[in-house]
Amino acid sequence: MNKSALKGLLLYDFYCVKKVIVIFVRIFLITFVVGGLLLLSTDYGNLKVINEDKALTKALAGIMVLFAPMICGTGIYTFTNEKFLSNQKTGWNKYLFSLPVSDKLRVATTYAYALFLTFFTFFGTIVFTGSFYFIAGDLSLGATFAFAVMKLPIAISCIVAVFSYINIAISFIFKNAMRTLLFTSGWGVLILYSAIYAQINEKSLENMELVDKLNEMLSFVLERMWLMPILLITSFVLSYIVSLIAIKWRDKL
Amino acid sequence: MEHAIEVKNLVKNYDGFSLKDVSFNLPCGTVMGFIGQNGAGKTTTIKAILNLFKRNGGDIKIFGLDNIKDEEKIKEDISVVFDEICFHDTLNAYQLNKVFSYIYKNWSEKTYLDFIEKFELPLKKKIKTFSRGMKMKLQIAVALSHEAKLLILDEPTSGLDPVVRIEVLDVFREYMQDESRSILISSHLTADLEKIADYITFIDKGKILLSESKDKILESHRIIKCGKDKVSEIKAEIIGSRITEFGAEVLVKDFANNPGATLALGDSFICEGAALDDIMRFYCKGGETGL
Repeated sequence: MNKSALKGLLLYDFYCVKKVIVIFVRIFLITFVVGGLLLLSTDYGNLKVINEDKALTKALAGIMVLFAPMICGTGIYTFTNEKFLSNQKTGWNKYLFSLPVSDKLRVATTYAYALFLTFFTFFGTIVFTGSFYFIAGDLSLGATFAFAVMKLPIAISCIVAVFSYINIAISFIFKNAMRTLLFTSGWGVLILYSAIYAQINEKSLENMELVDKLNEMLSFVLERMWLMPILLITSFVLSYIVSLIAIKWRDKL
Repeated sequence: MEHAIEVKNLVKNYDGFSLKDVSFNLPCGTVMGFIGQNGAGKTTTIKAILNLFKRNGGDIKIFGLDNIKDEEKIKEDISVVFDEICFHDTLNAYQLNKVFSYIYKNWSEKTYLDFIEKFELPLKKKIKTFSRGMKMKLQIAVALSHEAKLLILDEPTSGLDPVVRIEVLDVFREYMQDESRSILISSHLTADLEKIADYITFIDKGKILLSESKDKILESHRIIKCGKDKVSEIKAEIIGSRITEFGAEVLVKDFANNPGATLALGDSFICEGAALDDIMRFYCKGGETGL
């Protein structure tokens, strides 16, 4: 594989999303600073008076750690989407085929870019969550608790990454409009199915029972964390293979 | 090597449009104008040459090599300029230099920067601030900075003002000083092609109608202006005619080889050379009336 060309194509992608990356880092930092100040206030500020047994700190930290995968996950999804949309819009996708790079390299560049974003997501999630855990001052609860806190954001990041890989594979098969339609209708079907399922099977659920039910589902996912890396690697490899086949049958430019 | 591009029986079927047995050769060291109306199949043929889609049939060779099997090797020696700039508009000329220096083995930073200076393009301003002419010049600067032996240009001068058009054509002429280089230039601005092209390939509705040297095409076609009742008396291959209330304009082929073609018209006709524009118009429209 021509590593120099790979570097060039990745550099191009990086220049294209540079502005979006800067915006996301800013959002990340603002959320981090605001959340941090809020948490510090529960220990040293006005919120200390209503923070019995550090209950408020734990609750706030819990909410904050959910922001991490959401921000990072939105980031990875936005960056991949931005790349496909702008490459299609500007004609770079077409131009790419006039460059001396193989089909394999064209696909590999996209996945190298996705891999970089996956690391960015996980790194951001772990640093963000760890920092809040540290600021919340609950170190006495030990590493097991810390891992328990990290589980949910990591699971969310994994799921977002899996969706991004599928999105990449679809982008090699369909045009942008069709890709968006497929993705949106996919989410629509999922939500509709959940609503119908709840209407039929869980009619009697009320108030806190619904929350308990959701927690149950969450626990189900968290207990199967070992599945996440398998899911991540499998979706990555399968999407890569599908993309390689699709680019050979290209007919969409 | 005799030909820079050899297209043989190229077939591509789309819904409502198809390329039908497209064949032509671009000899090395020459410029070929690829003309036709909008939607005639020019861009589709160029896309096929670049292997942008899976074709339904035919062979394409570039410098004697198959354009699919030897794609990577071939594309080191090719440069493409599309009608619209294909780079993200937040990038600048400096960043493009970095990107392409990794992609092309023969990238010459010096040549690129010389072109940027020659075209008076700002190095660190974003592309989105460029005018159409500046964008086209930037694409050309990229295309000419890696010692490409074949330049494929898809409507490079459309939408440009006359000053920039002449400037761009001069750059192409300069590029052709090296005789190992060739250009395929697709355009419907035939005036530009008359200035620069050695060969003309004319495509209409996905079919090649003409593919010959420009001089031969211009030499063999004539426009005869005569009375509208005299058209049937012309003894030559009539490509198309335009009848108005004042008379008729007829495009004939192989006029030079047929001295008796207008004998029956006596003195009541005018014979003029046909420009590429006229040739294209009559081939596309055939017989039409301006009444």
